[in-house]
Amino acid sequence: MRHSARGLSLPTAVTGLFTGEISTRAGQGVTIKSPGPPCGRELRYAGDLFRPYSFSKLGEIIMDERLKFKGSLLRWPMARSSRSYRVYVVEPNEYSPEEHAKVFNAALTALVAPQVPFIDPFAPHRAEPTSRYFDLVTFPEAFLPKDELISTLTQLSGGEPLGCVHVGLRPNANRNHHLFRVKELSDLVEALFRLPSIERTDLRPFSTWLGAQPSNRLFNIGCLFTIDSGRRLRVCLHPKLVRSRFEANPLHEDHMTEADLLTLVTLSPSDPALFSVTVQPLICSDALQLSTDRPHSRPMDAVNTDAFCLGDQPPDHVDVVSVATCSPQMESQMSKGDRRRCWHTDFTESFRRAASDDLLARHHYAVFVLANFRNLPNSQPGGLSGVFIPLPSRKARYPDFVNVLYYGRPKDAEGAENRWTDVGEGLSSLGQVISLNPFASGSPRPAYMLGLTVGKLPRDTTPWKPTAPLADFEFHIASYDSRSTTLTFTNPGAENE
Amino acid sequence: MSDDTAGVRTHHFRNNWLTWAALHHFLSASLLRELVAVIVREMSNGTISLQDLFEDSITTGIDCMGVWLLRPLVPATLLGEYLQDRVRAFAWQNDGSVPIPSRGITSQGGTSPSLLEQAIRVGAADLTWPAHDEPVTDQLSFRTFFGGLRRLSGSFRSSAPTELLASFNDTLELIEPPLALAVVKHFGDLCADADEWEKAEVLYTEAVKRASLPHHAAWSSLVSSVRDMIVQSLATAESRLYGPARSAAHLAEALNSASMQGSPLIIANASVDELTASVAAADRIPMFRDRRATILSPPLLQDSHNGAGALRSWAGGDFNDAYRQFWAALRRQIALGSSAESGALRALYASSLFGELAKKVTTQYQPEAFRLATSLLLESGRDTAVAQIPWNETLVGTYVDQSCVDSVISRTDARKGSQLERNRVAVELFGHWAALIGLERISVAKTMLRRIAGVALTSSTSIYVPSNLGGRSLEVLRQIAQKRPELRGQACAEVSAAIVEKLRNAEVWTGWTAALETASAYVDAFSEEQLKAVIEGTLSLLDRINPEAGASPVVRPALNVLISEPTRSLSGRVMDLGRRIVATILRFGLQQGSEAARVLFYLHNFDSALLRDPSIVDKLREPVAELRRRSQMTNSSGVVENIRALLLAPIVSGEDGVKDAINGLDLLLASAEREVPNMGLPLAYSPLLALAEGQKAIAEDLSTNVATVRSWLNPILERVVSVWTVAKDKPLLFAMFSIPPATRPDPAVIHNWAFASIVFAASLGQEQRVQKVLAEALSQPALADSIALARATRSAAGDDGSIDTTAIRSENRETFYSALGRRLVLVQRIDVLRACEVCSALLDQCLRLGPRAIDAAVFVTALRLEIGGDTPESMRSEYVRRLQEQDRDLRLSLTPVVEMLMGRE
Repeated sequence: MRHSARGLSLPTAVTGLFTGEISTRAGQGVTIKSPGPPCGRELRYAGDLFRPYSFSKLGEIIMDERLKFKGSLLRWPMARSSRSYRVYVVEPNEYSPEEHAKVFNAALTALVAPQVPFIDPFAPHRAEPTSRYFDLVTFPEAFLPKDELISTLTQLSGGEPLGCVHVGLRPNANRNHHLFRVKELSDLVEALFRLPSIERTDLRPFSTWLGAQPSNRLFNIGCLFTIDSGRRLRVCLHPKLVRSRFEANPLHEDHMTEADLLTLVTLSPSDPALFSVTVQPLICSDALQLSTDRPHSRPMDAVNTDAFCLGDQPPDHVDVVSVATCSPQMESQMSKGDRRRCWHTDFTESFRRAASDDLLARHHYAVFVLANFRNLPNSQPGGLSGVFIPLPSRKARYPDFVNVLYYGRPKDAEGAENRWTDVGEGLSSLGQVISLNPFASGSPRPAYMLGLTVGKLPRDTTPWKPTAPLADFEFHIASYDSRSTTLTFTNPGAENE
Repeated sequence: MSDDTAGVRTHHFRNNWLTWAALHHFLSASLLRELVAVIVREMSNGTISLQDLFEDSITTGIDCMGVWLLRPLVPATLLGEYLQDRVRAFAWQNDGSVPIPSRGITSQGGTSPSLLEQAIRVGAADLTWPAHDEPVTDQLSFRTFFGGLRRLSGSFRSSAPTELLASFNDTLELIEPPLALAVVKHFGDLCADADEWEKAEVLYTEAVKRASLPHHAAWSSLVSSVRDMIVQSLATAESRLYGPARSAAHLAEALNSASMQGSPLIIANASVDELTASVAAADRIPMFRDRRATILSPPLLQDSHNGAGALRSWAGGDFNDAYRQFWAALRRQIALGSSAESGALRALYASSLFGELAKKVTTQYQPEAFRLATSLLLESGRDTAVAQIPWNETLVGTYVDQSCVDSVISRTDARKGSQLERNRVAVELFGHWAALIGLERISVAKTMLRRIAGVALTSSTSIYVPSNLGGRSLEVLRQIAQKRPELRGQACAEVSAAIVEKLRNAEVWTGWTAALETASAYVDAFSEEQLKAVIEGTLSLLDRINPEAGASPVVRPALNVLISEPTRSLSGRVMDLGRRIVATILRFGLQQGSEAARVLFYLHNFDSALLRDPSIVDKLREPVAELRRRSQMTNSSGVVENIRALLLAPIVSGEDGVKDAINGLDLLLASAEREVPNMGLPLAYSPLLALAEGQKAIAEDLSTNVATVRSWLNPILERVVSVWTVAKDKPLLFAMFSIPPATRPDPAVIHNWAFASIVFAASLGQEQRVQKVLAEALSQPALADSIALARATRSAAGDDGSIDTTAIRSENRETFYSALGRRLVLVQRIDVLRACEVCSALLDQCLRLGPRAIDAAVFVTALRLEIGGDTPESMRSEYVRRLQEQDRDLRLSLTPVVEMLMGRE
C-alpha cells in the first residue's frame, strides 16, 4: 500500500528534513523515502515493533495507542556565534497574574533593547548602550496570559533573531485558574497560526495531540518561542505531564490532566563549528520524581526510555532542561534572625539523578534552568530561580545576590559520600546550583532577573582541563517609574562597573 | 547514681531520644552524656558506642555544675563520623547543624541522621519559624511534641492563656514524665520569647505543678534543676507582668530558702536577677550589700577565658572596662600557652582600641594606644579584622607617621615564623592607611606602597586565600591606585617589578589576572621602560595561551593593558613592540567570531603606520568586509554598532569602509520618514558623534583632507535636519524598542540626539541650521525638556554661542546646573554689560533652585559685578532658610558668601 505525501502531514521532526513519499506495509510500520539531501536515506519508523500508525486521521505525530507518549521533536535554525550559552531567569516577587504581563514585557524589553545613558561630555569614557545577548530566558509556570503572548509575538514577529523564551502560560489573568480548557488551547493555536512569519509546522504536533483530547480535560501549558536565524517566528507549545499536588483537586475545573506529549527542541546553529543544543522545556513537577497517573510516565525518564516516540533519530543528548516552576522551597532558620532558603530536595534529587542515573543517560550533561516565584500564592516561600550545572566548580567568588549549593565531598575525606552543601571550601565538587539569594535584594520589588553565562555547555567541555563553568553574572531589579505605570529592569551594579 | 536509676533513665531516653535531642538544653552535663550515649547506640543499632567515638571525662559533685571533656577518636565508619560531629555540636551548645552525607549512613536502627537534625532544628525553633515537614518517626513523644509546637505557633497570639493551656492537656498526657515537664517549660519559654508573658506564666505554673508530682528517684536531679529554672522564669514573668517588686520578693524568698545541695541553680543563677529586680523596685537610691553568688569557671581551662566579658563591655561603650577584661583574658590565655584563641582575642582587643581612638581622635592624642593596637593586630595575624576597623582621615592623619609605619615593618619582619600572617595584616593596614593619608605625608605613603610592592614581588599567589599574599598585595596596590592615583608615582619601579614577576612566575592564573588588573591601574604612571617591561610580560603571557582553547579569564585583562592609551602611544614610538601588540590583539580579537566590531574597537587609536602593515591588513580583510556588509543591513538593531566600528579605525576600514559607514547611516536616517523607521534609528546619534569628532583622523588615515570628508557628510546633515522635522510631529521616533510599544519617547535618546546633532552640525560649520530646527522641535512638549537639557550639556561642553537669559530663567534644576560651570567661564570672558545680564539670570536661578556648592561662584561673580543686591529680599531669605536644612559642610562654605550677598558683611 502506497500513499502519496500529499494529504498527509509528516512529523514535524521529519518535515524539516524530508520530503518525499510515504509507504506503509501492513504490520511493518511506516517508511518514508527521502529524495536526497540532507540525509538522503530511508527513515524507518518503529519497524516491525508496532502496528501501522493512524496517520490518515491524526497525521503529524506518531499516535500509536500503545505508545505511552506522543512525540514532538522540533528543529530550529539559530543564530549563535559562540560556544557559551547565556541564560536569564526571571523571578517575580509575587504570584500576581494581573502583573505578570508587565514583568514579562519589562524583562524582554530589557534583554532586547539596551537602556540608553545620557551623554556626559566630561565622563572619562563615553557610555555606549550595549545590547544583551541571550540564548534562553525562562519565566515561571502559569505566568503569561495567552492573549499577552499573542500580542508580544505579534510585535516580535518578523524582527531580528532572538534567543529562546520559555514561559508558563495561563488562559487569562484570573488568579484562581491557570489550567487551559481544550477549547481555549484550540483558540490559542488558531491565533498563533494567524501570526505573520510563524513557522506553522512547529505547532502541528501540539495541535494534532490536542485534537485527540476530550474536550472536558484541563491542561497546564508552557511555551518556548524564538525568532530563528531566518527571522521566522518559532513557537512550541508543550503540556505539563506530571501533576503537582496543588493541581489534584476534587473539583473538575481545578484538576489537571497529565498530558502525554513529549517535547524536545533542537537548536541548530548556522555555524557548523558549533554544536547543536537540545532543549527540553518542562513545567515544574515534570522535572520531579513524583508519582504519575500512568506508570513510569515522567518526561525526563521518557526521553530515555520512550525515545522512539520522537522518531528514529532522537537527539543523543538533552543539553538544557528549562523548567518553568511555581514551587515552594524549603526555608530554614539557621538561628534566630538568620533565614535561608534552599532548593527542595525533590529538585536537588532530580539534578543528581540526571547527572548520574543510567536511566537518564540523555540528561547526564544537561544544564537545568529554573524560574520560580519568590513568594507563592499561599504565602509559602519560593524563589531560588537559577541554574544547575553538572560540572565541578572552580574556586570563585560569587556575587552576593546568588546562593551557591554544591554537590560533592570533602577533598580530604577518603570514601566520603557526595552530598549537597553550601560550603564550597575544601570540596571536591561535581556540580552546583546557583540561584538568586532571596535575602540579598533589599526591600521587595516587583521582580528580579539573574543573568549568567555557561562558559561551555557540559557536552562541549573537556573533562581534562579545569574550566570556569559559570561567569558574567548580572542582577536586575524591576521597579516602577514615578507614575507607577512603567515597569523597568535596571542593573543596580552597572553604574559602579 | 545507682545502676538501677541509670537503667531507668536509659530506658526513658531510648523511647524519647528525639524529643530530648530537641530539648537537650535542659540537661546537665552528666544527663546529656547519658542521652548522647543512647543516641549513638540507637542510631547505630548498637554497633557504635560513645566510647568508640570519644575518650571522655566528667566531673562529679553537684550534678548541675558538671563539666564534660571529650577527646575525639578516629571513627571507623561514616555514621561514626556523623555521630561524633553531632555529639560535639551538642557539647558546643550553639545549635549548629551537622552536615549529613547524602547516602550510605542511614542507621541500621532505621532512624536517619536527617531526622535527628530535624529534631535539633525543631528544638531551636521559635514561634515565628516556618512550618516544618511532619517528622516520620515511631517515637510518639516527638510526634506529639512536634504537633504541640505547631499548634502553639498557630495560636499563641489569638488564644487566651487558659485556653492555650487547655489545648495542651492531651499533648502533655501522651508524653511520659519527666519529659512532659521539660516540654511544658519549653512551651512557656517560647511564649516568653514572643513577649506573651501571660501565657508563659500559665505554662510555667503548670510546669510547677508537674514538677511537684511524684517522680522516680532517677530523675531527682533533673526535676530539681528544672524546678529551680521555673522559679526564676516565673519571677521574670512576674517582673514583666506586675513589676520588679513582686519579682524581687519572689526571688528573695526563693534564695532565702535555697540550700547549696537542694537548689544550687537558684543560688548560682537567680541572685543576679534578685539584685537587679530589687534595685529596679526601689523608689530611692538603694543601699544593698551585693550578695550575688559568684562562680569560678574552671580557671585552668582555656574555654573559661574567651573574652565574653570584654566584648560585653566594648559593646556597651565601656572601653576602660573592656580593656581591663581583654587583658585579663589575654594574659590568662598566654599563661595557658594558647596560640589560636589568643590571636582571635588580640584582634578583638585591637579593634576595640582603634574604635575608641577613632571616637576620641579630636579630643585626645594617645600614640601609645595606637601603637599597642597596631602591635596586637599584627601579632593576631587576623588580616580580615583590619577591614572592620572604622578608619578615617583624622585617625590616620593623627597617628600614621613614618615611625608608625617603620614600626609595623620591623614588627612584621621580627619573627620569621609568623612573617606570612603578619605580612597579611601589614598589607591590609597599609592599604587602608594609604587610601586615607594626607599628601603632607607622601613619604610615608611611599614607604607603605614600596613595602606592599615588595611583598607582592616575593610572595606566592594561590587560590587558597591564606597563601595568596602575593595576589592580595597586588589587589591592594590596585585599590590604592583607584582611590589615590596621585600616590602611584611613589612606587612605580617596585610595582612594575612585582607585576612583571607575577606575569612570569605566578603559581596560578589568579596571580596573572591580579597582575594584569594592577598593571591597568598603573599604566599611565609608569615610565617608558617600566611600561615596556609590563607590556613584554603581558605579551609573553598571551603567547603561552592558545586562543582557540576558549575564553581564558586572563585574556580580557591582558587586552585591557594592551589597548590602554599609554600602550597605544608607546606602540607608535616603538614599532617592533607595536607590531607584536597589534598581532596579539588580532590573534585573540579575531577568535571572537562574529564580533568583528570589537576588533576595530581594540585597534582604535593605534598608530596608522602599524595598521598599514600588509600582514595586518590581510588579517583584517575578512572582518572588515563582514562589517561593511552588516553596515548596510539597516533593518538590524546592530547596524549602529557596525557603522561606528568602521569609523573607529579608518586606516583599517579604508575609504570604502568609511563610505559604507556613511552610506549605512544615511539609509538609517532616511528611514525616519517611513511609517516604521528602522530599529537602530534611536541609537544613530552615536555614529554622528563619531563623525563629528573624527573628521581629522579620517582625513589623515585616508590621506585626504578634512574638506573632502566634510563634503561626504553634508548629505548626512540634511538627514539630521529631516529627522528633527519629522520628530516634531512624530516624537516616538526617539522611542527605544519596547514591549508593548512605547507610548512616549525616551528622554535619554532625545537628549543624546539633540546633543549629537548640534555637535555634528557645528563640526560642519552649520550649527545654526540644527539650532533652528531644534528650536522648532521645542514646540513639541514630549521633546522640549530633553532638548533644553542637551543644549545645556552642549553649552557645558564648550559651546561658546550666545546665551539666552530668558531660556536660562525657565530651565529646571537639572538643566540649569548642568550648564552652570560653562556659563560661569563665559561670564568671565564677555563684556561687563553682557556679563551683568547673564550673571543676573544665573543668580536668580541659583537663589530659586539652590543651594548647591557651585552657587558660591555665582554669588562671588555677582558681588564683583555689583549686582548682588538686585534680587528680591524674599528670594534670598528663602534661600537662606533652605540652606539651614543642608549638611554642615555646605552650610559652612556657603553661608559667608550668602551673608556678603545679603549685605550683612
